[in-house]
Amino acid sequence: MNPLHYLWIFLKASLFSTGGMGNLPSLHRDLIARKWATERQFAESLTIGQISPGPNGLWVVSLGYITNGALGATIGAIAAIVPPFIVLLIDRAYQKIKDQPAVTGFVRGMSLAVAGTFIVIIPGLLHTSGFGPRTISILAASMVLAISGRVPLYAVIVGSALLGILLR
Amino acid sequence: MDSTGTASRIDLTYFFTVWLKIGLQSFGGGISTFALIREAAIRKFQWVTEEEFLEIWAMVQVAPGINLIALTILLGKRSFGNRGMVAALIGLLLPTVLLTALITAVYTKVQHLPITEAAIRGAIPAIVGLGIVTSVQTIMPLLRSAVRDNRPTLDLLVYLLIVVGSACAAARNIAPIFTILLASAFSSGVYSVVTSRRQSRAHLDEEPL
Repeated sequence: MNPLHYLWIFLKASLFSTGGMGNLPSLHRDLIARKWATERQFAESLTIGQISPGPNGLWVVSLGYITNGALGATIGAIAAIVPPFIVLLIDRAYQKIKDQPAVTGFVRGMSLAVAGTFIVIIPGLLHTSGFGPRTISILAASMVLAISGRVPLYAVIVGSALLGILLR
Repeated sequence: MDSTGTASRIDLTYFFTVWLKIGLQSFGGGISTFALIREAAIRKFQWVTEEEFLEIWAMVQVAPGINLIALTILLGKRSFGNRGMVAALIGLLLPTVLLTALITAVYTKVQHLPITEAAIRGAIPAIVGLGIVTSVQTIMPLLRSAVRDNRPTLDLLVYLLIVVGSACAAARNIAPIFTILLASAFSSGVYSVVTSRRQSRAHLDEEPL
């Protein structure tokens, strides 16, 4: 594992996506193809990112730690902190660009594609929990709770983990 | 001169501790972090007005990466310049990054216990479920606004084409993900430019001479 290459994979994933989890499809494809991470490690770090304090996008710190220890966590943190600085350029130009169809279209297209690729990548994580009535019922229940918007998302994750222990 | 220097230094130290507190209180992930930042920025300390906050949030949506970090960068910069930006970022991220790493370190020590295994097996379907719902929720407002637009069917078709096309491209592994995302963004940008030109030309044609 070359640390610079590893950093580039993380940076690239965040630079060319939006939101804290928009980097997942790109990271998933690149790291798994090189066997630098497993489906299971992605599932673990996403879970920890949801229950730990701060932005959920810090899940990459957890992914870095799980796959490469303290060095990996540092690289994950750097790759999370650098891309949002582009907002300073946007701030300077905002009055000029905010109503430009090219800009709004670009951002819209990226959001749509992040969602499209995300929906393809994320069900793969289910392989590591095993299909069965328990998996399917937790999946369905968490979706209903998320759509209803009445329960904080981290509570859904914690509740599902407890359910996993109870139904062991 | 000297006294204002000292005063602003005290203010900056205080500013830093406010962000440190936000970081330490932000259990519950992104939504509670956002609520704490908003509360501090608009109500408690009035760094920005509600309108300014909304405009900053709109810019943040355009920036790559974690929205809350971009938000912190701009709020810090607007309040105390570059030093404020650094203070806010360190305040928010020092506790949250360290706690995330610490929780992960503890996890790796206990991950082979049967109880941890059972907990993770319970959490994985929930992560997948939340991920699917969040993705659909980011698409829906765009599709809805397309329906409300003056060219409902064409916009809707193009948006759906981007979602389905990028999903198929990822599923069949025909290109790196970031290529798929950039290609989608560029084609959507071009589409917006072309349709807005055509619209303004049509608008001009309607004008009686």
